[in-house]
Amino acid sequence: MKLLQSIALCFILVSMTTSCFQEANNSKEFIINTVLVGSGPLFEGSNTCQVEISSNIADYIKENNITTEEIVDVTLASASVTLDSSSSKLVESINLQVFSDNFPMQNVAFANVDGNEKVNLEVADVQEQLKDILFDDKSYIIADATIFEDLDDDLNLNTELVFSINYHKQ
Amino acid sequence: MKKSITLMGAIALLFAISSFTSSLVSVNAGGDDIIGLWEPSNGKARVKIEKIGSKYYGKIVWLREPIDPTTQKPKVDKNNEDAKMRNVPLRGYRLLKDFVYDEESKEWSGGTIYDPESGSLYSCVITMKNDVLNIRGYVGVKALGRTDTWKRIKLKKKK
Repeated sequence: MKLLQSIALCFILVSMTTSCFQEANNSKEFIINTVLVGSGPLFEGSNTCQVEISSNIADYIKENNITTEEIVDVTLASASVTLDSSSSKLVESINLQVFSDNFPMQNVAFANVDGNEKVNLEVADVQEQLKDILFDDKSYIIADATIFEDLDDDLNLNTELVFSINYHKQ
Repeated sequence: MKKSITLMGAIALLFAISSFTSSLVSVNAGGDDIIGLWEPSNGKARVKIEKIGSKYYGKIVWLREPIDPTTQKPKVDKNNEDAKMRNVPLRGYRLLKDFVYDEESKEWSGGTIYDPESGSLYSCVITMKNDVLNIRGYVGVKALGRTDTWKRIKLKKKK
């Protein structure tokens, strides 16, 4: 009898563990296109460009018949910034960060601009809580843009973020 | 009589609105006192603290020695645990993240401080007295941390 109880307990524990740590077996791309604005005048050095986003990721997963419980994690797959020709000569580097009211800020991508108008950023390997950040009521994307010289006008960074929603479907 | 009641009602409403507004202003004013330019006790850097959304963040805007003597290039976050983020320049780097002001305890807490010299991240709580910040970094227990004092840098206005 005791042996049976032990086996049953083991079975329950194994079931619980596997359900908690299930691996993703599907993936969908979720894209955010936005403009990060640094309000001028800006000064030589690092300046903050930001945008508040209320991402429609909840609607997106609903349309795709995915539930939040099925989502294992969300990762940033790629990030790119498009600059106009004058900004591309002015901006030295871009450091992209995301956070929300309830979850901490984290660096997610970085690039030296090197005079290019289309910049593909290097995406961080360490990414945490992106799912929580994107599903929070208010999320923010911040770019710390280092500029070579003072700028009287606003700085606009046209930004595309491609997120990978990794989920488990039975 | 009806007129005087309406007048009294209007006065009461105005009083309520002004009390509510002034309480809001005082909450923001207390938290926002931290906004500005600060220098750690070692004088190696200057950190600009700003507010984004409802939280406070601080980034390096000046380094006493901006060039890495080994590479002869601007210093970068070479100790970051994430190899892909090791080219991020230290000038502009956000050391202080995610601080929330608590009106009752008069402290900014819930945030972290990053030490680029070791690549370590610490929990952190900040208090302010007489334009001096007490920045206490710790791991786990606040009592076992270390406090550094930062002084405010006042910029001279351009004539």
